[in-house]
Amino acid sequence: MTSNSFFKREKSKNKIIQNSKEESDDFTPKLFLKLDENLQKIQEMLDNPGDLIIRKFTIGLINHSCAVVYLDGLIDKLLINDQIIKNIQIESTKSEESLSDDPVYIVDQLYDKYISSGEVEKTTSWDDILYAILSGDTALYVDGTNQVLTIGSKGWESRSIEEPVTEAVIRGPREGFIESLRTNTMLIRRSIRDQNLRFKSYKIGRRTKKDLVLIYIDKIVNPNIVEEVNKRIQSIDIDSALESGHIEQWIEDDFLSPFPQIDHTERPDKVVGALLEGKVAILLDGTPFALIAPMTFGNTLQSQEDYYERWLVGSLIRVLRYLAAFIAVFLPSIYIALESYHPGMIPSKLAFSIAATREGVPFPVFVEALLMETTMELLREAGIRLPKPIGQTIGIVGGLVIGEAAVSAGIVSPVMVIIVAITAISSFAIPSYSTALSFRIIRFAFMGAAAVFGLYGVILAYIVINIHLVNLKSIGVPYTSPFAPGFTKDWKDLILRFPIPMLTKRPKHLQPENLTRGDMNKGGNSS
Amino acid sequence: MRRYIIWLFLAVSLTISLTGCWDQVEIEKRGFIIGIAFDLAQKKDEELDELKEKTFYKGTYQFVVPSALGQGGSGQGNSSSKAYNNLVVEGETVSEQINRLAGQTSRTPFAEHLQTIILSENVVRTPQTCSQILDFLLRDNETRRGIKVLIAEGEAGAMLDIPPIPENLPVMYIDSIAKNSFKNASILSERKIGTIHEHLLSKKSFVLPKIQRDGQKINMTGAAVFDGHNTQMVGFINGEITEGLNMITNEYKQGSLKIKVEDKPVVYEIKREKSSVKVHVRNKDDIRIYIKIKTEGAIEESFASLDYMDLKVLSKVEIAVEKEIERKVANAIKVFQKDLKVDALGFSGYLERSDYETWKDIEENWDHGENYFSKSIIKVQADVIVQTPGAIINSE
Amino acid sequence: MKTFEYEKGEINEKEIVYLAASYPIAVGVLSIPRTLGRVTNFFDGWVCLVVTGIFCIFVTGVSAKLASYFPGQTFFKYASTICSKPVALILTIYGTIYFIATTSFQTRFVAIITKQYLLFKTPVEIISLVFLFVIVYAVAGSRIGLIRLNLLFFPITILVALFVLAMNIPNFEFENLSPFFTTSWEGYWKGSKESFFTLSGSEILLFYVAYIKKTEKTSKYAMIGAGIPAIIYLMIYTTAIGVFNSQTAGMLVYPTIELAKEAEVPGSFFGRIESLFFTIWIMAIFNTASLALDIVLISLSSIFHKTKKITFIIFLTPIIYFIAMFPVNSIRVSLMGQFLSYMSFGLGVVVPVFLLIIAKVRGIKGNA
Repeated sequence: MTSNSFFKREKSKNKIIQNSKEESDDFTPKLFLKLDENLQKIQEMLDNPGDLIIRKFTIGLINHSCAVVYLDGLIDKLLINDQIIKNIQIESTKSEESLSDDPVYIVDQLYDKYISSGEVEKTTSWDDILYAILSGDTALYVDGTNQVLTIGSKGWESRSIEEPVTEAVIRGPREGFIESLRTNTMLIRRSIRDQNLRFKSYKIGRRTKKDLVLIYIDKIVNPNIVEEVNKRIQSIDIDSALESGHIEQWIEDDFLSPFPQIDHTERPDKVVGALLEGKVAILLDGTPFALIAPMTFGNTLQSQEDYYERWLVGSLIRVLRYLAAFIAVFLPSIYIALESYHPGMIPSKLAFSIAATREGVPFPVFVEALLMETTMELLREAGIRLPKPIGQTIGIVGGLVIGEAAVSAGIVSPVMVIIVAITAISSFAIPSYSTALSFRIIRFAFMGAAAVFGLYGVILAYIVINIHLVNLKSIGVPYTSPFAPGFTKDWKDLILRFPIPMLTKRPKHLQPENLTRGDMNKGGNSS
Repeated sequence: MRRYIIWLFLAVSLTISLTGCWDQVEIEKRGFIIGIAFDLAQKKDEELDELKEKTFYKGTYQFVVPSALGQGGSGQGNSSSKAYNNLVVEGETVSEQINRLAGQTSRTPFAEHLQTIILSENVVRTPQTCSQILDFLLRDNETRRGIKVLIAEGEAGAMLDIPPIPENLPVMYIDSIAKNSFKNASILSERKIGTIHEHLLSKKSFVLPKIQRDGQKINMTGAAVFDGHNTQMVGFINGEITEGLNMITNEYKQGSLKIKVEDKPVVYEIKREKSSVKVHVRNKDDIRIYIKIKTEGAIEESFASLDYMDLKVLSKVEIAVEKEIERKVANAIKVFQKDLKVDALGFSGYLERSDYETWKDIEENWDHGENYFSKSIIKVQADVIVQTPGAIINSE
Repeated sequence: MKTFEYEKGEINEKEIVYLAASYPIAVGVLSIPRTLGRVTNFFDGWVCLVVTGIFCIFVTGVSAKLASYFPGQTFFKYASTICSKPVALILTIYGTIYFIATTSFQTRFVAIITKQYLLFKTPVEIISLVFLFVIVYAVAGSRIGLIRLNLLFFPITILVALFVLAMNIPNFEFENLSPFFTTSWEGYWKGSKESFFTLSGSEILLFYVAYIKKTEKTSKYAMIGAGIPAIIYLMIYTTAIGVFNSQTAGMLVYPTIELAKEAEVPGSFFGRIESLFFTIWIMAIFNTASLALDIVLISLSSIFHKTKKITFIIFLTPIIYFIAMFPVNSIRVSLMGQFLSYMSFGLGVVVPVFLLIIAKVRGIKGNA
């Protein structure tokens, strides 16, 4: 049921790509031979923006005119001034070999001898020139020829590398991705100095034309996964991809599911860990969030920190997380079910105290729970938007004062406040924010089921969620592996985390080509 | 198109199912019954003749008032509100009574937390009444099989009204006394209706704990003895006989035994007690039962100045204790064999297990009819060990 | 889309263990101490369980062996190879009817017990309707997913069962177990008949082997799987007799749930765990019922190749619901269960043996 919808999207996508390609061929203008005409054209095309700088100068003893065009703000000024303009101006006059007369050869001479920049391209297409200028490169026009040199000169302001805000750890590297793609790939390359590390580039978005990089380690990852992800990325037809979330929503398997099928992270060490397990990573320029695919249910409750602490601590904390997930999803619904339908299950003294505290509360439990939970969600959303100093206060104010006031006014019972508070705290213990979000959604579904059918409803809702999970796939990998199908060897790293010396194999459910960690042989698949 | 039909059908049927949450009752609307006491109802003179034939029971139902439990706490003697509320209804069957209850209280009667049932001796002296009353409790799904049963000497309803200091509810108070059977061997340990059900089905005689009210205090020593054949109470036994009974059935947890050594009282504390029973059947008229009782314990109190480090002295004390135990147990057996004539000591089980053929033969006549039980010869032998004399040897 | 090897909709041989183990564990286990307690004395029911268990293991082996000669072929197909097509058609239809009735029976039974222990006033119709919806949703997904569900739920149900048994150890009285071997032969025979219905699960193998690729060791795994319920039942029966004696157990309608009622969790953290026990047990019954419905779909689609799965589901759901609602009270439901047990004997024992003999006689080897 789920993959059908995906394929329908793919078919319609292909049609759109086809159409757009046909369109673009008709409108490509040609480059002029005269310098002034070219410069005028480029100003026209960009409609005279204020940051478009055009610098005309002459080179060589023959004083041939040329010009550099760039967008201020995107470029490294020093590089342009020193290495492009100064170099050409000085060198071309000093050298023994003078500039040739033919403009075409001038371009070659410039390319070969005089431009000391690392990235230079020759082009005759306006598309390429525009793309280069808009990306922060410089275009060098030479009078008399329609060949243009584009010189790499990117250098804009960007954030420095700092600890990721959403994924803080106690122990571990405090580096996070930033918005610049090049820095991010640097962070990855620094950790994996393997010749098999592959970076595949794409340009995403018809208007934004952002760089997207698909990273994987060849000979480890299963080629099927790479192929599938590749296919999906190429089918993306979108105006702009501002964030990796857009990419995620295009390439995921089931967009109706509340569960995330592609993991995302700001931490390079997590990406590196995933790559070594046999997964692929996707980096998009302009966002610090990297995508990791495929994802399984076990990943939703794992965090890199588990591996940095010792195995006993790591295992127990993971067990705690599973407990927190259980509480976050089930606690309100179990409370509703027990309180309305099966009070016999609560120990006698507790049942009496609950009944005592609920005297005079006007609402049935389900309504009360909905009220409190909704209030909690509102508080949470509000807390994110507020600036830091006020945000903390609101948390305390909201929690204590409003809760206390509501209890004294007799609108809710104190037990409900406790339940909601514990649920909220447990959901914060879940490391992945998007998983916590999906648990929040499911929690409401469970509450509804508990309100109608009590424990019977809870268990049926649980079965329904399981049915959904079992049919869910992430890039072909079943979402519930390695719980089921039972790859018992993968259980060493699932709920408990066995000591690092014992984690010698990569997860089998990803079917990697190279199964043993540290085995440098090609295709050493020992199954 | 088909998909839409399915979704429509699902939506409609699921929405319809939301119209009721048939079982949803808010917890504060439930009236928790934690204890019931059954008495015989006084018959009114004006009743019709046909009604006079039927037995009417008076049930006292103890409801919990949770709001008085909450913040008031325990030990507040002057709290004006009681944490419980007793309602009295009459009816022939238990379900009739509960139906009448619903008319008297604003809360839905809810019996899942029912802890204890107290039956008056007047009720259970009639045959079959015990199983009749228990029938409702066993059959209903709300009530647990762990509900405890007590037999009251006199009025049962009065037991539910005692001031429950330091607990909050009389039923809880009674419960905690019953738990003291751990310390006091003349209290019979609690009996649950699940176990009683087993006895009722196998038609074996049994005992139930007794409860008695002395003014404002409760006394739980002793037990009530039931004949398994027709489920009728045949009599009460006092605390001493209960001690002997507990020794035979391995339920003696801890207790003290007072003996006389050199004419002065010495108290021996039993820490551990174990009895083993062997049944020898020569023929059905000649059944011999041998009971061996082993105890371990210490000297608890001694008015006599003896050298407790001397082995001879110890063995003297041990022999005295053994004699006392044998006397007690033989006394208890005599009461069961000769006075009450029912085997509530569990010997039938031993016979059944060791010699099934004979048991099948005399099953009907074991403790009534021919009453082979009363005819059998039962011998007791005690084996006592004094482990330590305590912290001191002598006080003077 | 290229999927992984293990995703091709095929069942691994090892997964047969769960299938064979989780299918029999459903509603039968809730009343087995009663049915055995009524016809045998004291603890003698264990003989019935052991004998029937061995018999079922053997029968499971036979069915698995038969089906493993024809890997990848549905029951209809290989039955028509062995004995002619019309006979195979009759057998397949018989199987279909049996599994439809089984699904209805399980649904109704779940509703009855839920009504008794969990939701007292909710109408039986609604409870079974909701349960039926969940089963239909499960079956509408992928087949492999359904089998994985079995794998997910099976350990949980076993754990809860063991937990309840462990919590009952303080109540266990060894005296209730003796004396031994006092039952008449008739009693043993009746007990074995009763245990057969609850232990038999070999019917599903005839149909599921169609999805296994490698079938060399299927028979062995199936036999291991069939042994697990026998062990579990033996443990439950022993505990039930020990806690209640056999007479009392014979008087309790659902002794296994009463065991959960008796169990006392130390620390009195839970008031009573039979609701918890039964709630988890609903998962086990769900497993069985969804497998049964799935087999209906397998066998129907093996006869009518062109029809889509969803058509069958729409068509079948009302039928199953009405059959489930047909018996008026729980006694009639038990009668229906008895009738089904005779049918299962036919499908689980007679048919495979019959087919195997004919296959051997006609020298049909299949393509194992």
